[in-house]
Amino acid sequence: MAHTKTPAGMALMALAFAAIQSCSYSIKVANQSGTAQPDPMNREMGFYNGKEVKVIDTVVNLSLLQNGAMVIPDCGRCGFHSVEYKITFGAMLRNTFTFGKRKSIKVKYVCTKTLNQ
Amino acid sequence: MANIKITHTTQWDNFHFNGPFPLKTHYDIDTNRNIRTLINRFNDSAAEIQKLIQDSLDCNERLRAYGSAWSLSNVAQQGDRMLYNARLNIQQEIKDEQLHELTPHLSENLFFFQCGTTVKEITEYLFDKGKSLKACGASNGQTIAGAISTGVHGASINEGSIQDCVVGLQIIIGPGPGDIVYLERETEPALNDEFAVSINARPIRHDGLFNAALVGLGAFGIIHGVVLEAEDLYLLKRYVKKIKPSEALEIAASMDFDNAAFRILEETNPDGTVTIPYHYKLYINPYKATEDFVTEIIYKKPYRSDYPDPVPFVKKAIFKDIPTWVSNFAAKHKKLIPKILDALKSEAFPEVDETIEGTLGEIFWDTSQSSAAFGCAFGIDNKDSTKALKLFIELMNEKGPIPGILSMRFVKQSAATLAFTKFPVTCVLEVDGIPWKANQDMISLDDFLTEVIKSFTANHIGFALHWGKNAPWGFPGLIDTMFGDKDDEWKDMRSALLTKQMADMFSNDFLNTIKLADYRTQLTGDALAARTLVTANG
Repeated sequence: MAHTKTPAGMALMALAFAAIQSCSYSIKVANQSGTAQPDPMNREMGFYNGKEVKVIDTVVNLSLLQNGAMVIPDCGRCGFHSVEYKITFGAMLRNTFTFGKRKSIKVKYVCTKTLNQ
Repeated sequence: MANIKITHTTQWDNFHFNGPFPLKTHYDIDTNRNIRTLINRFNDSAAEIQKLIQDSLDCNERLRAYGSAWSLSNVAQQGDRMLYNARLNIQQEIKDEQLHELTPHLSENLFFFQCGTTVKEITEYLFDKGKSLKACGASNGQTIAGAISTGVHGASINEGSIQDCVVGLQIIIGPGPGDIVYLERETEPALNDEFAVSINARPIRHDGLFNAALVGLGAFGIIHGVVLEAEDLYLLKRYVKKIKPSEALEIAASMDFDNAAFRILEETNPDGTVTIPYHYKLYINPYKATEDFVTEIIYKKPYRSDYPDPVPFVKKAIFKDIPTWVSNFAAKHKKLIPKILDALKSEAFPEVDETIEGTLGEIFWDTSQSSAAFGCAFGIDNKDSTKALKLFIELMNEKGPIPGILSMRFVKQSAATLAFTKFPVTCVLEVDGIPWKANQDMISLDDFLTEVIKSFTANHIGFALHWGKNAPWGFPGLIDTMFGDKDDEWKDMRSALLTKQMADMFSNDFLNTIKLADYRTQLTGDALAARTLVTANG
């Protein structure tokens, strides 16, 4: 493995790392209407600042007869304010090498603020 | 019983990360949705807040309510106990039988909101009724109580600020049974005494008291209910154009759109006159001030439903680290700030020649905070706008550069005693940017703004500062410089409404710094009349 310590080897490794990193990404889908359920103690830069964020991070095993999974969190009658799903390189590998029978689910979501009408 | 979550802590921060500030106990209150009737649910929340006030008195600690924490100054902060009220979002229509017999208002235009209802929630609620707010800020996340208490202004040339739509206030001024009041103007009553009784409040109608409590900085008690006047739903048509600085500033100083060299063809009438815009905003790069100004001009139009959705379908976000990096870099290499700002122009300025249409809520839609931010807004007479801008830009170049861009908006005068939109047409001259750490080569934000205050004063430019933004609030004599005798009027009215003990309960460091916390035991004239009304049946 000595050759990985050469500048060319290190550059190759960096390139591979960057490629793997760019395989992981997330997308947010947010409702244009409605206000996010607030969390005054959540101070983080960006979209989730002041919002109550819930996270689903699990792996679902499917039987031979099953081909999909659905998670059913309770967001009340006002529904979802936003959902962010993340796809990682590892999750894609897991899905591929188990022929779709082990699925990683990484979701962040925010519910809509409850109305008082 | 309303639900209250208690968190013992040591610090708290606002939405724009201008802290952290010290805090002992945080209360997070929500309505009890098991109570079926909205008005009973509303009264239950008020009763719980009163219990918190009593407990704070017993523990010899202060209590301060806050909402979305959007203020960049420490106006919302208080070191003992803070009450988060943004879950208190009851919304109700007003019925004909609730109107005061002398009211000039129509019941269909009046709505009752609990303190924590956000501007976005109000906008959506009103939309369903075919109504709209008359004005709002550049975004929609503020709670109604927070927005009016700090004078959130938007940029409505003919309608004024959010507080100017308010016709009634329910305020909790103490822990006792008579300590919930419902304030209105005597000359502009809105709702009858039966309404006040239904929300367990004593009606008090007094112009001076109402106007002082309107932009009350959280110092008049806990605003728990707000009666707003809305209007029929309308559309806003937004144009973004580039205008020569001299032409843009001529309009700014005169508000004479008819005789201006700049005009928009679609908004020009056959007789050569033009439609007066609802909103006029100039974006200015202070380090390239001779460039044409990017200008946002918005016109009010009758509502129709067949317009393209103005909210972008895809919104791109910058890396969260970029603003921090820019700030750190700027503090070390300040000469590069103008180049960095120029490069970031597309992120800060709207796209030129883009025209969109939408409701008030759609045009001034959501923002999310991608970094810590600073913002400072000087309210000046629009007639002084050219001179003030010149001085401001000179200082940014001489004392800075600092990482911020300038803008100018124009707002109708407010009736509130301490509204910073105090001129007949107030030009809001704003600087917004990324905070930086001062060093021997780089002036601090406070020192820079102090230089602006000194320069404006030396050049006889009257001004007032936005309460919810950054400023050197400890500048000697600042309150008198900004408001003359008006601050005395405000203090008198506060002393008329509150006991000394409660005035202290609702004070904070910000009020002490700006010299607004002192209590007047001896009142005369209008303030004495207000106190007589307050103490009657109290």
